[in-house]
Amino acid sequence: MRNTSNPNIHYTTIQVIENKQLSSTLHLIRSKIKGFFPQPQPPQFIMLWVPGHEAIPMSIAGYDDEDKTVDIIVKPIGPTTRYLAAIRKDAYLGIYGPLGKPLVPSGKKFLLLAGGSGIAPIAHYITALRCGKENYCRVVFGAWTKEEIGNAGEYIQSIGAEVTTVCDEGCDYRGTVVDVYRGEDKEEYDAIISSGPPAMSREVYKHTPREKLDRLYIVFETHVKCGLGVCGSCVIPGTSLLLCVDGPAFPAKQIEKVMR
Amino acid sequence: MSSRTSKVSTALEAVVSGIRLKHPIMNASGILGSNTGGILRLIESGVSAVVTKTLTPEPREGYLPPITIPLGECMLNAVGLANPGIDAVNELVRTIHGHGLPAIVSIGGRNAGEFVALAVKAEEAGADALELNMSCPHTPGYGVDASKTIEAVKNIVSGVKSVTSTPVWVKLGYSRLLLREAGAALSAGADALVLINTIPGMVIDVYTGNPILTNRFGGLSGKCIHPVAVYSVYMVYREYQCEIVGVGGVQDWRTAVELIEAGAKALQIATAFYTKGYGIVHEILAGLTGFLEEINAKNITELVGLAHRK
Repeated sequence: MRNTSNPNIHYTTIQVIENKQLSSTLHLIRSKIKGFFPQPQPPQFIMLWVPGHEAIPMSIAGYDDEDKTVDIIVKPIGPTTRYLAAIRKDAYLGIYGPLGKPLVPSGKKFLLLAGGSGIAPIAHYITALRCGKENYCRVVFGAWTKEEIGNAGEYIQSIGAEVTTVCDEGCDYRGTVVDVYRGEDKEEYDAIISSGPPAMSREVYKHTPREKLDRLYIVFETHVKCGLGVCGSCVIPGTSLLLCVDGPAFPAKQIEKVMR
Repeated sequence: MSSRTSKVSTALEAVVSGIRLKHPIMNASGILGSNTGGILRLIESGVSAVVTKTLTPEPREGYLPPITIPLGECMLNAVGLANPGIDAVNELVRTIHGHGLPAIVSIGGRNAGEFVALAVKAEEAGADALELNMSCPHTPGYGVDASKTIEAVKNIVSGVKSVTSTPVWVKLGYSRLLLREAGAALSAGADALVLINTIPGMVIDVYTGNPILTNRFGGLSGKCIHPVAVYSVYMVYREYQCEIVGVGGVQDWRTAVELIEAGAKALQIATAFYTKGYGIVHEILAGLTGFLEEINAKNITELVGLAHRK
């Protein structure tokens, strides 16, 4: 029986401290938590409410328990994310969470694969896995162009991981995250985490040796509306799994049906 | 799962409008019952029947998020009756029947004519009971709007009863009109009443001054409304001794027993799936079994309406 524990989920206002453009399409927004918010673990997420717009699911990209700050990484796609990407210091937003289940693998050496805005939960993993402190993490971060990568690689490095950037031209590697992954010695790592578009994670799954599949974790994406396991809109097709309470990351073996 | 479910003792069996349930706990409409995956999840949780999301004549997107606000052991929601439309009813009922459970199809129209058309389609799909949503508090035209007057309640229920032989459950919310609405629904032929729906509420973000829900207000559910549900079930049972399915803040065996002693023959849960997780059904059933043993009761039906005999 899959059971979900009592979710300690809270609503709080947050206030923007800083909106830093990491690349042509990625914005890191750090906000002060104004009320009570429990300590999140990766890859937990929030429903981020933009007053006057809507609420959208967002990965938590960082959290500081002492300063009471929470980070998100936004890629402007629709009206709400465009508004967010341009948001100024001191603006108020609302969040509720942490949503989803913590899934932090054990080990000393980690390979973290990120495509586009999939970098957000990876950033949270880097701090939670204590990368660059007692553990080693290598991040392969890909996007279509060099401009989309921008300074995001440097940011990831600054929080403790070794980074390889991948894009069509001008990055450390030319091609896709999967191209780099295929050349990796998977045996070297205690766990592999993939966070990106479904097509990318499917390819990662395909190129993972069978005996290593139990150490592969996939941060999944579906359409989240309530985030509480109530509305059913985030059900993973062909299963009875709810992304918002069972995920958003799954051991690859749990979602093999969907990955094939 | 099935092995655990089959261990439910016969002491917990319940019958509502002729429908035999292996135990009294089903889900309330609105939780997960709008697609196959969601229904499978409910079935895995061990419910004795599945109540679908309210189906309307056409598919509805519902409101933009935020559609829910977590409030500790309670919740405020205004989903806006998002649902795949009545044409999905065949697939939903087939999934539920495929697992051997009764399918309670919740339907919501804007007037008697729409309710009647929905009822016909749900009956054709093989619904074991129809639950008429006359109480959704936050979707203009539907729910409380469609059943604004006692006359409208009567017309909808008698209209549906005139075209179907499937048992008709009428879901009502708490208001000062509850007893009159319940009386109207019963005299028009309702086989059971489902009491209660969410209660209107609002949450405002104090820094921005905005109501948080996109719809500004919504329906309050969970532990906060449990005493209101107990009161409502008690008052309606006292007046009409009718068949009642109790809903509102059931989150453990004690809150379940309270509604039963107030007069409910079966129960529905929703918010507790979120606050307690999907193991809640088995937790409550284990608790109910333990309670029956503790008080030396042979079966749960002995407790129905107990509070009225004291």
